[in-house]
Amino acid sequence: MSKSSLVCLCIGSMVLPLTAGAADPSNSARITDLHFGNALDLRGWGVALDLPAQEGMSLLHPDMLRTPSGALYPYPSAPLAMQQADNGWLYSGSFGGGYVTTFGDDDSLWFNQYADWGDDFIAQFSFNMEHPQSGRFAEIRGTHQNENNQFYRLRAGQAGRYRIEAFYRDVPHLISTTARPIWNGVGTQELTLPVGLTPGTSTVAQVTAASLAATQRTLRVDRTRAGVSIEGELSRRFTAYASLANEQRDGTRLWGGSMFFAFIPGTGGVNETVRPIDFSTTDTALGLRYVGDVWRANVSYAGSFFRNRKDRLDYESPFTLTTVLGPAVPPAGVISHGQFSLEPDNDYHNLRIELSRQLGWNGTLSLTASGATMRQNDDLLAPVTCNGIGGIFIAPGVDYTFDCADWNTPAALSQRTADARIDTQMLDLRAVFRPTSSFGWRASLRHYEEDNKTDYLAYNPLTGQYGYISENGSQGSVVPGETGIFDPGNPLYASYVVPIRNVPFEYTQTTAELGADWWLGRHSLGATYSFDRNEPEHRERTRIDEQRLMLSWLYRLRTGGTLRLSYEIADRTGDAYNHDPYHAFKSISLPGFVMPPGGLTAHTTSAMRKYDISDRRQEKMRAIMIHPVGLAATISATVYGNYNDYDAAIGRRGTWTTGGTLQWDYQPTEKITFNAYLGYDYSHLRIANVADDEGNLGPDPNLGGPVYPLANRWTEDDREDSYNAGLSLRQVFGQQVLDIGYSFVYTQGEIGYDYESLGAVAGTQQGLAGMIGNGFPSNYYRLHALDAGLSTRLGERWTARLSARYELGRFADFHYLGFADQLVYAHRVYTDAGPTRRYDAGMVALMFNYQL
Amino acid sequence: MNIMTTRLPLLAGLLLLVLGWQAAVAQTQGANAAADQQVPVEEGAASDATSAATESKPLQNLRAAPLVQGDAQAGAGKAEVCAACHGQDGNALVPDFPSLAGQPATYLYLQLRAYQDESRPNPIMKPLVDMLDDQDFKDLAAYYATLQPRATATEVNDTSAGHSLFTAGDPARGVPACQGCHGVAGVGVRDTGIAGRPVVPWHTYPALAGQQAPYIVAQLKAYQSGERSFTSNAQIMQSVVNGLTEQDMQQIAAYLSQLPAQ
Repeated sequence: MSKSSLVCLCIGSMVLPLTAGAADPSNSARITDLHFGNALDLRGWGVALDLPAQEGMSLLHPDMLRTPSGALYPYPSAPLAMQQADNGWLYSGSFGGGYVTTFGDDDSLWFNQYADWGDDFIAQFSFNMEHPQSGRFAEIRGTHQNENNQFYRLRAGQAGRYRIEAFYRDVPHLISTTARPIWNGVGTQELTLPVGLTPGTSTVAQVTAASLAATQRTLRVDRTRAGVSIEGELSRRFTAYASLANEQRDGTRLWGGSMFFAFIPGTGGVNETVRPIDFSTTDTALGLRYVGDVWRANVSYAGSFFRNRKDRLDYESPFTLTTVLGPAVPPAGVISHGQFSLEPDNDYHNLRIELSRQLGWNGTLSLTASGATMRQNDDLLAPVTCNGIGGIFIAPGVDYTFDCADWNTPAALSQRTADARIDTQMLDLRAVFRPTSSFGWRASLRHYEEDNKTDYLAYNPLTGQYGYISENGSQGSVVPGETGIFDPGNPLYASYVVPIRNVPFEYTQTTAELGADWWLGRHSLGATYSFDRNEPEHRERTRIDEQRLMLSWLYRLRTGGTLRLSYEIADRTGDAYNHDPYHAFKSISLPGFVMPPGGLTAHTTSAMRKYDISDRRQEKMRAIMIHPVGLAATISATVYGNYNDYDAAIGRRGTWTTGGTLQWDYQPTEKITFNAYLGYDYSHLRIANVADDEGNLGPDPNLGGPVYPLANRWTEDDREDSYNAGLSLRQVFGQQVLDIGYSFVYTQGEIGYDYESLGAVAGTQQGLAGMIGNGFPSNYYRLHALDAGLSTRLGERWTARLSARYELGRFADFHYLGFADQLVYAHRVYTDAGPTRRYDAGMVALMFNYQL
Repeated sequence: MNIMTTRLPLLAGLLLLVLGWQAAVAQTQGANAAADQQVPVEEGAASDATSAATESKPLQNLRAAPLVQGDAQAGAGKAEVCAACHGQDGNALVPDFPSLAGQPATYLYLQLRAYQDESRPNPIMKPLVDMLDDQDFKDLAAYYATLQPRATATEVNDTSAGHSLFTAGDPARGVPACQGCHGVAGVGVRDTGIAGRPVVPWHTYPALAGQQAPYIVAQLKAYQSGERSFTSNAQIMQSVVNGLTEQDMQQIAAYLSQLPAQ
């Protein structure tokens, strides 16, 4: 669980009573949304006073109920009192209003990230109607925290006949509260420099001054999602369902803006820009389900349609570019404008058929077939937006310049639209049998194919050149010849290896699985063997096989609890590893390519193994114990470990994650609920790499050769320890409910490294040998959060709830070191100063509810 | 932002308003609390969830009702008045009156108590049970539990609508199967005795096989109207009968009255 999601959970769980409300039911039609709620009302229950139900877990008996694995169910809440209308309808409802206010460092990112607390009037309402004789019902509810954080939902239907749901919600997501972008036009597609800065010719001092003068602002992306779904029974056997939902995402995000890297002082320019977000995604589903005595079937269509109303970003770069040849050889022109092509509009269609048939031996045979297509055909943008001349002129005959007019028009492209398409097919056949009460077996076969039909050739019909002007023309204006193009007619560019077409990655995957289960008294045993064959196209391997054995043991304790152990071991191998399978997509494959005198420079070392297809041995272990203590308490513990060992001298070498939890739940009566937990997680990632010898580049890819000498190897160890703990208490006093919770999270990350010699360090940094050390400064995140709430009845129909949250947070991330002082370092300008290092913040909310 | 000088006074004022309001309604609350205290845990206050018709009486929680122990022999001596309507052997001759023979003693005891406290209103039974004390209830219950129910039919129509509703319910109308709580044969369910499972007080449920049909219909109607709704068992029945029509009730009653009681 990420820190942010953990924080979100902590916030929500305490603002409303801990055991409030039942979870939303789910059904097959509800792709529209899965959960409703926000930081003020996590479960969307929306009642100020949440008292336990008198009838308890069941009207049948007085005992607490436990899940099949032995955990206590939460005590149910009392529904609102139902009133009866003359026409037989029963109804209940409540509505309320209040105010929330914040204090302390209430603009902190961590405090607000998904809550967007502020000084706001808040509102809540719910209304339920049901007609027991006919089974008809309707329910509408909503919570308004502010205009960016609210939800409303309507459900209606007739039990067993049809069901309709409609919803609307706004969800905030703060990206940065300390952003100081230097540009004007943030949120638009045009970022222009402020007065005082000139594109392409500003000094570092001028950029620094502009950054310091820039207004601090919040960057955020707000989601607005609305939808409707319906499911209805056409007959006893047939059910039809349909849904339609749309999500709008609006706001801004941090983005890049490279004008070639600036490791060599004074050469390129790195801009942390701000891009607009203006997305619309429409999802739809349509289906028909059949349930017979022997056959069952489901035929469905799903579609998703993404539209981006701001599909490019143009920005001005302030920095003056210089060449690596020094002041004597300046760039031929001023490259000062960059452009990004942002996400294209795209469509997705999926047709799926599922069939299952009951068989003898208490068995079921299932067949699933689906076909899908993903397509996008947006207009393509010109390679560059520059005007005049780009590149470097060294001398007559050594002219690495290019005319922007040949590249700043769509006419410079081999095709005007993307015409991108990926089709997929899937067939899944599985059989499950349980011939006796103590034994069952299952088998499955799944085949999946991906067909990437996208074929784009980077060819400029205006110049007859292949490739793409890289980095808005800046790279070729800093390093002579690194323009990004191949030209068989120009000796200067006839030996350049550049990408000239897209790589249509695709794969075929076949998985077979055979398993058996035994139920022997209190013991359940399971064993599954699977074989997976993946045949990717245009990858370093053409075949990857993985065998996996999974074993499980479940023991049902006499106390009603369970002990579960599982172990999994997998071995992945494949055919020969080709470290450079991409020749067909580079200029080397074109007629007219002239092999350089020393041969092609190695693409990478042949010892490199990409971790998704390298040989791997994997083991996983998990133990879970849930132990009831008497009728009202449970102690539970979890221990897990995942181990991956990659057969790679260079690349990802291994990962190890482990952790455990210990939890105590106590629920002696419906009036008291107490929980306490401790948790610990640890992860370790090992990487090895080798730096090429920049003074000795050549075709030899071998590790230990002249290009990749052993002395240039380096390793990285990334470790993270995470501790978390918490407790919560809920006490009912007559018509008052008090809830208190505390949670603590501490995560510390260490990135250490080691290297054979200074040859492993980038050449430009070797002068800093004394500062290299053996690791980056520690990163950590520490949060104490205290929540408290008091709900009370004020009268027969009035209730109130006073709730508060206080957070004490500490945070450090070396990526942001120095940003508290300034955001400009040499030819690099940053926008985000990072989350608040220390903050103390809280919120207090008071709400009154009136019950109908 | 300094909350001490800005919004704290506002919140403090609101809090005072809340406390003041609470004081104003304290009398009402006190009355409610007093009502709560008069009722043991097993007989909790009426739930807010109950319908309008049940608002005025406390809910009798029968989920943990213990087994009733009485003196059957003593009960036989106290049953002379009862026999007039319920039969000398506990099998009523008049269709409107229930047969008591073979019913669980705890169920019978709880019904006598319910007549007395009027949680099961009945103008005939009320004056009769008012003359009895708790020990009389237990003895009478024990006595009738020992009697043999009379077999009323030799052949059961397994294709009837009543049989279908009793055994399978009607999910489309939200009607659960009766046999879930009253047993496949209509004579009750025995506790599984499996450790760790909740214990259901089956001894508080009546046997239905061979019962008088008009009596069954009358009771189903009483549950539906809310007349019988003041116990946890009655609340179960209320949700069960909500979807039943009068025809359904007649069909179920007809089927049950034909079921052999043993």
